[in-house]
Amino acid sequence: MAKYKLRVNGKARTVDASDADKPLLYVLRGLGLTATKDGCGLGQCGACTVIINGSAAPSCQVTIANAQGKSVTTLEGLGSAARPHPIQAAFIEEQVPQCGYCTSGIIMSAAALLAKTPKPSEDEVRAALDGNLCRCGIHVRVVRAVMAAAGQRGLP
Amino acid sequence: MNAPIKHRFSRRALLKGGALTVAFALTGLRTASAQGAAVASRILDNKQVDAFLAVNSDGTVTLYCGKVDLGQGLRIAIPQIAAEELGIGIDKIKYVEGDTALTPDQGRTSGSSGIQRGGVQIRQAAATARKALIELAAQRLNKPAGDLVAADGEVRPRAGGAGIKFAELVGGKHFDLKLDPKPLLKDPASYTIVGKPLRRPDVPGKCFGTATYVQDFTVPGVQHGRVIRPPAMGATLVSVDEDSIKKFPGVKVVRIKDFLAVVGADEWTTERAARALRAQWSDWAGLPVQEKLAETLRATPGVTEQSIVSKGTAAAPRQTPRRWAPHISGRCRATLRSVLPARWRMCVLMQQRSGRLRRACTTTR
Repeated sequence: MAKYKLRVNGKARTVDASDADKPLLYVLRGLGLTATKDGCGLGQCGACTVIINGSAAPSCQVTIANAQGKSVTTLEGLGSAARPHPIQAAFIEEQVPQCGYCTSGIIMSAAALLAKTPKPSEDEVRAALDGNLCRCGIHVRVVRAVMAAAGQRGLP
Repeated sequence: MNAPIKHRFSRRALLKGGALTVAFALTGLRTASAQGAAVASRILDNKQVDAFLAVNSDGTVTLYCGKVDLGQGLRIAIPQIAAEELGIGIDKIKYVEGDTALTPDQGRTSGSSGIQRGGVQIRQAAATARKALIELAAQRLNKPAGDLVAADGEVRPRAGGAGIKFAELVGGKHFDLKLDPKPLLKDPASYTIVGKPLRRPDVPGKCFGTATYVQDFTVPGVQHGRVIRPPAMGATLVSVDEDSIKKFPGVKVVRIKDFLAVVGADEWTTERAARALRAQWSDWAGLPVQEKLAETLRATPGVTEQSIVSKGTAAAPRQTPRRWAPHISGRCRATLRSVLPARWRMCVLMQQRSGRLRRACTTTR
C-alpha cells in the first residue's frame, strides 16, 4: 500500500491506496465525503466535480497519484448550513435542485467560476457549467442562482 | 462506493422496541414524536383512512404516503394537500413516506402520478377524516355538523366560539373509517395552504451534501459488481479466462449464460478486474452498414409510407388510426438502437413508450 498525502477541505490527509490510478472520487467517498457523486465514471457528466487547487475537475478522472500534494475542496468543505457559501445560499433561495444528484458537481463548478470571475455574464455561467449534466432539467434555475450569488440580476 | 455511512440501528428493531410513530427519511431515522406518538399498530389497507393519516394526542397529524419524493417535491406538496383538506397548520404535519411497514401501497412513484394519484388519495383520506372529526364534535358540542368548521387543528362553530381540538376528538385512536372516494372537498377558492410556494425540505441537504442517497449507504459485507458488456449486440459469450483476474484479490466472476460480471468487496479493485477480464465473444453481423443507414431504415418493414401530409395537414394532423400502432418492428427498433449515440438511445426507448417516435417515424417520411 502506497501512501498519498493531500489536503482535503483544509485538512491534511494521508490515504493508503494499493493502486496509483485509483480515482480521487473513490478516495474521497471512502473518506466519508459522499457529497461528491459517482455519475458516469468517464468525466462526461460532472456529478463528481470537485475543486483541485482552485480549478473545477471531475474527480473520477483524477488519480490519487495526480492528487498527491494538492488541495481538494468538496461540497462538504465549501460551506455548511451555519455558514453557507453564497452559491449554496442562492441554490436554496432559488430552490434549485430536484433529485439533487448533479447538484454537488454544479455547485463546485459554479464556486470555482466565481472564485476566478466574481461577476460573470450569463454566457460565462453557461460555459462554466457546460460539463455538468442535469437530467431533471434545473438549468434555468441554476443560471439564475449563480447570477444571484454573484450579486447580479439573473433571469427575469 | 466505499461510503462509510452505515445504518446505525434497524428500523424494525426500533418499531418493535416501542417507538410508535416513526418518520423515515433518506437522511436516516428519527422518531417523529416521543410523547405524541400514539398509533400502536399501522393499518396499511389503502381503503382505510387510518392507512393515510393518524391524529396524534399531541395535536400533530402524521401522514403516511406510499409515494416517495425523488426531488419532485412530494414531501411538501402532500402535507400541503392534507393540511389544507383537514384544516390544520402545515407545521403540525409529520410525514412518513415510502416505507412498506408503515405506509399504504399507493403504487409506484412514476409517470407524474405522485400528486395526481397519490395526492388525490391522501386528499380523500383527509376529507373523510375531516367529516368524521366534525361529526364527532357535533355530538360533543350538541350542534348540527353544518354549523361547524375544521380549522387550525380544531373543530369550532362557524359563527365563533370554543372548539374542540382534533387530538381531543380522536388523538391516538384509529378512525376505523372507510376512505370515501367521493368526499365533500374544500372549495379551492377558500384555500390558504395549497397554492403557496412553500420550500422543499430536501433542498438544503442537497446543497450541503448531507442528503444520503442510496449510493451513499452501505451495509456490512457489501459487494460491488461490474457488468462486462459484449462488444456487439447479439454476441454470445464463448469463453471466459478467469485466470486473467487472478491478481485482483477477492474478485469473483459471475457468469449466467451470456451475462458476465465480476463481484468483489472493493469497488476500485472490482472495476479494474472488470477491465482486465479476458472474455471471448462471438461475432454478430446483424448490424446494418452505416453508409446505407437511410436505405436500411426505409426497407425495414413497419416503417409506413403514411404521413401527416397524406393523412391530414400540419395544422390539423389526422388522428393516428389504431392500425398504425405496431409501427416500429423489432428489427427497426434494433436498428435504431444500434445506430444511435448512447445518449439518444434512452430517448428512443422513452419515446417509443410514449408513442412519440411512432409519430416521428410516420411523419418524417
